[in-house]
Amino acid sequence: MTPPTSSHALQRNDVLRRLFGEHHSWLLDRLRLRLRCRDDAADIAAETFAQVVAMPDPAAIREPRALLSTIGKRLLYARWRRADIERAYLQAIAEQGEATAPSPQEHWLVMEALMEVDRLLDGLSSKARAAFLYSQLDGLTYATIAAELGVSVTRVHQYVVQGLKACYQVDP
Amino acid sequence: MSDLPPAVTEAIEWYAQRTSGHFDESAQRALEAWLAADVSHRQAWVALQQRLARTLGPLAERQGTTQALRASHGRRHLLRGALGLGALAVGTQLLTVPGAPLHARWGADLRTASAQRKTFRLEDGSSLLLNAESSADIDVHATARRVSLLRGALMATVQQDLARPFVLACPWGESRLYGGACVLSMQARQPQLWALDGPLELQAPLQRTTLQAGQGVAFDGQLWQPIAPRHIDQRSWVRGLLEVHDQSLASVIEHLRPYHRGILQVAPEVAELRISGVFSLDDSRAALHALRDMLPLRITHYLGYWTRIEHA
Repeated sequence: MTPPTSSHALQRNDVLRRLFGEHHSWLLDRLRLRLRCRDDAADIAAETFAQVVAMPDPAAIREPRALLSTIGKRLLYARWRRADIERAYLQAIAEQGEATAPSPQEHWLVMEALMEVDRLLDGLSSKARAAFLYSQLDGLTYATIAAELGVSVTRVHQYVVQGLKACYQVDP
Repeated sequence: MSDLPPAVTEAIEWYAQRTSGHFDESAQRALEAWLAADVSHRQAWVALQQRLARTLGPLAERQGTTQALRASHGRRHLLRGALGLGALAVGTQLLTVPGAPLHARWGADLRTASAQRKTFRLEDGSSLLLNAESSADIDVHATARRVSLLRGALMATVQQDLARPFVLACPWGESRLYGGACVLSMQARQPQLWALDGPLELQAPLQRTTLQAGQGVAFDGQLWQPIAPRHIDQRSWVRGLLEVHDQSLASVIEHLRPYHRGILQVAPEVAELRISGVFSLDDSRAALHALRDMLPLRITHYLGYWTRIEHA
């Protein structure tokens, strides 16, 4: 990629500044209505604009509010999902009595990896997801998994294949 | 899901068989024969293992990950009230409880290094999140709770205790609260105070005022004034972001500095360029590149630790 010229960069800055000025408080108000928490709303609004700033050509955005609410909604769902997963994870390690708590950095890395795998496995049924995780993370045999989930060994094999295919998919 | 190349589909089939728990020597020989039959087979096999190592590797041999990923998708509505600061507090609580309690460190300095945010849990149940390159003194005892910010910024999530006000102090004034959360920042030589959750009382040599949740004030050298729409939002660092409303480049760089390893130098001819946007603090290089995309800048790195920002 060639670096943008000065006038291009100035124009881009101008477009983004206008977008920010015209729509930031609108988006924030909408998010606040849904979230009833100012700080969450402000964070999601900020993240939404961070994604817009990262877009290659903001000047081409025709319906800024539609785009912003689409990104905002996606971030909202992602945040809820992350909170669900984090809660389940912390509960699991608390129950299993880990000798030492992970450091914040370690915790963050695990959460990132969990979110990545969660995204990859998004299209799988809950049984397929469970079979894949029992097999690939916990190392259980298909016979054990089949008994646990109440399905046939062949079905477990198919589930694991589905999970492996999902993990192989190239990022969209 | 798009169609995978045949060699990849076969590799996945082999992989699934190998992890089934029943993979004997004859199966192993058959796999080796398949691998030897075509170069595309071996490539697909290696590619599959690499991808799995990248995605599942960080989670392997770690407890709790399967349970985490089996978390139901159907509980979203329950989370509405538990997001944000609440969720953050729960997370840090569980993380720090098994470690050494902080009451052993009363009066000690809390410090964070460059590019590091860190949560400290206090004996009274309150927690402090320190921004990068920040430090504070704490003094919690039976009748008072006091935290003095010495450098940088912090967010205090205060455990409600009507008998012991929680005082968060900086050289230009102190805020007093009995519960809730607030942010105090002394970055870029402009002190700011925000009430995040619940009201707080601000006491300064020349004034005394109450802030409601969501209100912020900045110190102008003499008085704490309500924060104007044009500002750098001192709360966004809590989430690793820098949110800027029509500010000078110099001031934006001032806020990136604690997250940048090495020296950041801004040439005078670009220091006053105005900018609005949201930048990631945890990746200061990406933030600099975003700035370069928005303004006519040339960014040069010398010797790996010296960065100069000039007019393009």
